[in-house]
Amino acid sequence: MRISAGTDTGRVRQSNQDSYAIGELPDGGAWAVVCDGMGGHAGGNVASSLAVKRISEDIKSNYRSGMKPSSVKNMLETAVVAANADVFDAALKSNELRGMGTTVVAAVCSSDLCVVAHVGDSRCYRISEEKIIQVTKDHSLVQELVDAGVITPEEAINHPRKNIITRALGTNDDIEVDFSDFFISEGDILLICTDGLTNHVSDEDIKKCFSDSNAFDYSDRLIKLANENGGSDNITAVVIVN
Amino acid sequence: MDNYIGRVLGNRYVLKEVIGVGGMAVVYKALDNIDNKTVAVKILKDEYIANDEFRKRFKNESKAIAVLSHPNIVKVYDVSFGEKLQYIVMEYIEGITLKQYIQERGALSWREAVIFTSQILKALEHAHEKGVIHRDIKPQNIMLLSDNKTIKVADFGIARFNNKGDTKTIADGALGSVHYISPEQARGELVDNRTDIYSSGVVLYEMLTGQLPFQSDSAVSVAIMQLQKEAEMPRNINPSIPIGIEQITMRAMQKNPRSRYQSASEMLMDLDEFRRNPNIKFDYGYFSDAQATKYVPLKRRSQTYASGAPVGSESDYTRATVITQEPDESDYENEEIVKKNYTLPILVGIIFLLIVVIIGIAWYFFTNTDEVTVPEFVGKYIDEIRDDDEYKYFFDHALIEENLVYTTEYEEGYIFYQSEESGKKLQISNTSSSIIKLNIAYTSESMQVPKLEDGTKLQEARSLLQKLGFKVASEAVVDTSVPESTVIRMDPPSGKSVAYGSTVTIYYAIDDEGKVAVPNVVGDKLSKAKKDLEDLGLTVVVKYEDTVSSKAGEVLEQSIAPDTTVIARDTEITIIVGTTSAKTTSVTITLPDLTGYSNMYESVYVYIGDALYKTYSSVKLDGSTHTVELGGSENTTFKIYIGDQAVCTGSVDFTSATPSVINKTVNKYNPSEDNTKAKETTTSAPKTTVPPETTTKLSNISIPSFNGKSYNDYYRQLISIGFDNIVKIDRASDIVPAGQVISVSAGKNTFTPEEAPAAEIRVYVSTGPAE
Repeated sequence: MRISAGTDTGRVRQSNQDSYAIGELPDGGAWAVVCDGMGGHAGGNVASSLAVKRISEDIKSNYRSGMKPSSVKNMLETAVVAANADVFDAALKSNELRGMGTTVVAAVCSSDLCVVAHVGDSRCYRISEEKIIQVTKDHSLVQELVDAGVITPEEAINHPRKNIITRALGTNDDIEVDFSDFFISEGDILLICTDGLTNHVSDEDIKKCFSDSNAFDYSDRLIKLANENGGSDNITAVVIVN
Repeated sequence: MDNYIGRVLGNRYVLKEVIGVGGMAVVYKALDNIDNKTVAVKILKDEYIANDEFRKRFKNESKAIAVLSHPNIVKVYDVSFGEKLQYIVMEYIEGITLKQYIQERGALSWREAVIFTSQILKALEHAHEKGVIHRDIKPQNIMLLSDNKTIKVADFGIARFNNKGDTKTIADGALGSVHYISPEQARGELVDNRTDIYSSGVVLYEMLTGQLPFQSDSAVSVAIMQLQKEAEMPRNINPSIPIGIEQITMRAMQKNPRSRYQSASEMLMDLDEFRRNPNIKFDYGYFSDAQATKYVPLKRRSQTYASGAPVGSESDYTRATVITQEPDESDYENEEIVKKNYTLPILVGIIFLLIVVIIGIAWYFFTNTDEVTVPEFVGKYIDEIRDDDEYKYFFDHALIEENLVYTTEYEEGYIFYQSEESGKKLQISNTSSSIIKLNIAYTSESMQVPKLEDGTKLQEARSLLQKLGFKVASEAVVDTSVPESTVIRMDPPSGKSVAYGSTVTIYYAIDDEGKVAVPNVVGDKLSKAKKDLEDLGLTVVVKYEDTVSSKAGEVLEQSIAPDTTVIARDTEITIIVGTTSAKTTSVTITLPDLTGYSNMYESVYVYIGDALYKTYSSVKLDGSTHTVELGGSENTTFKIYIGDQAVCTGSVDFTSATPSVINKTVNKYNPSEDNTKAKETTTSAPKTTVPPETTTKLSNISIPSFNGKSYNDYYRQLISIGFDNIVKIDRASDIVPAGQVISVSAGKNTFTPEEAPAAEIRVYVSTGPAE
């Protein structure tokens, strides 16, 4: 597996509130955690880095080769719930940080199996045989409006309230996590990213980026593209190539 | 944020205690040192300030809000939009919110609900006139004074800032007012005045029933209910609610803005009518009407008429009202009773006349009518029943009014509403027509090109078609038989069903081959606009104007209105294109060191020419250096104030490629006398570190000219020359714009430096035109 990853403040924001961590698993697989923080000057930054720290530590210390999908899922759930408690407690303790929170996508991939946990509107895509599939479903107002048939997916793209998410890590003492698991084949690509990327780069353009199969700088290319198209938010992209 | 307690903002507002915490701001009770009164100061939370775009919007919008002046609106006195602190100074209200009142009492009496709603609508009427939409009408924003009668609406226009636009937010907070937002707000569309009508309807609903129309665990599902669910009728919750007020509530809460009251005034009229006669029943139905651009009264017989004599009145009243009983006694305030003394006899007279007329008409038609039973239309498809014997009579006698309503809930042609219940007996006279209104679904698959009246002009046709969802193209045809720009035909033609959103070409008349209709290019990029106009043969002149960066390169204005026909080869059109030519530079000032003084925070104001360019709020005067941004596009002077003292002046030529500061002069800053050193620190920092200014010659001080100055600027000027007792008096003025000084009265014109600080200077400030 090859991993490339990067984050960028973008062209508009003053600080980068995204955080991520990546790593290899002892059996040759890979894992990644991507968080997009929110709330205040300091808060967003703190929330995303606290969450990334806790979840990546949990993955590193608890992953064992040959774990079943259900065990991987349990491991991720435990990690996300623990991260939620970390962020929520920190927010309670400080006036500055009150109300902070973060999105999260945590993915664990062995050679043929992937388990993805997520909360909020950061996303995981799977690019397989030139098809791009969004694995995660946003926890956002706009997504719910689309699901309810109130607006079309096209209207969602430029909806003024895209910024409103319906679930976050750290804003509540309780957290509900969504999971997806799937098998991957050789050559499949996993993209984990924040909305700073997907708000500026279409599915088509993402696919194009991966057309050069020998490249290893996918994440840089994607971030560059997002910046060229506006870069209105922090951008984080993690690419895992099987 | 409670660390602001004790701080003095803008050199005049002393923050005393926190009285409220909202999603985007903390509200303090504060003492206004200058007017010596209690005010409420709303300080925006940090995260709203970080964003430049947001600050700009806040600044512009708050100017509009400060213009509002109405007894039912919480007055905004002052707005400050500094770098580090943004706050709004408002009237301080002794009382509770309407939400608290409803929570204490449960459902209110309809009389109380009407009194409160009327005041909300009067406030909205005023604001809408001034172009301010509230956007967040909810009982939490409505203050009830301690007399339990007067209400004041707060937070006009603030909600627009609540959406931080691009900053991620969790729904629960961001959608705080979700129970009151209109469907168009929930959908994220642009809103107009009618969004406030919807929200007022919800507030009225809550007052009448004691409950919210839509409730759910999650904010988002409430938002979706606003779009898709019908509210329980208030009388199902509480049967003692009069029909009239239920009708008013439900009309205000119509999902389609076009089916609502179109203005606060219109809703007020019905409320007043209801107030005079609580037994009134308004004669309108609830339905969405996709084609009519405004509410059209139903030509239908009310059940109340029908229960008496059969009647066929083709009345021309814009809204026929049915009065069944004399107005009952209500216990409004004195004013109401006085009014009633006049209105009661008049009303009785009108009722009498009406009854006479009704009986007369009824008698006439009674001898001249058919009786038919209304069949069930709902559930049928329109095409299937046209030739059906059961229905034929109605179509043949033109008793049907067909209304196509765009919806995806039903299949094409499905009838989902009829204005008269099935089974009802109708008296049909030979002169009546279109008395059963049917709402028929058309889906996105197809829609009909509308009929245009003869003589419709291109521009009207374009806006009508666009409103209906068509794309519009236009083509000129030489035809001198009709006035210029008249629509000759459309392709596809009127009545033809086409796919939703397809293009309709309008052919319009011109009287000469060389003429064209000018397209709308506002909002287009320069290159596209220029090409489009030149392709038509127009000569294009481009001018530039400074604008926000998001609009740079876009056409802001065009000199010829869209759809005007002109002779292309003779016509020059000027387009104004946004640019951001403004350059910036900076100057560094050394702040005075006020360490140890009771107030070591001051605002730094930057003036470019005569205009305030930037404010740095609450700068800590600690002897450090401070970089001040200067920006502009001309060769101009600048002045930097710390509080009311100009500490640095100079000029900058922003037309040069690298603008830099020239002729810089630095003046010493003197802490004001009341800014005393805190006692406990006197030993550590002797006051002599900031020596008093010695260069001022003690000459007499004159009242400066006030023409065209804003109160804030004038106030600052008065303070700077030595006056200290300034009384602000608000006055309505038709001539002087709101916020500017109307006149000044001081007893005399010149004061000695000793007299000046105590001399009372009365400054009359415009609140804009009177009611």
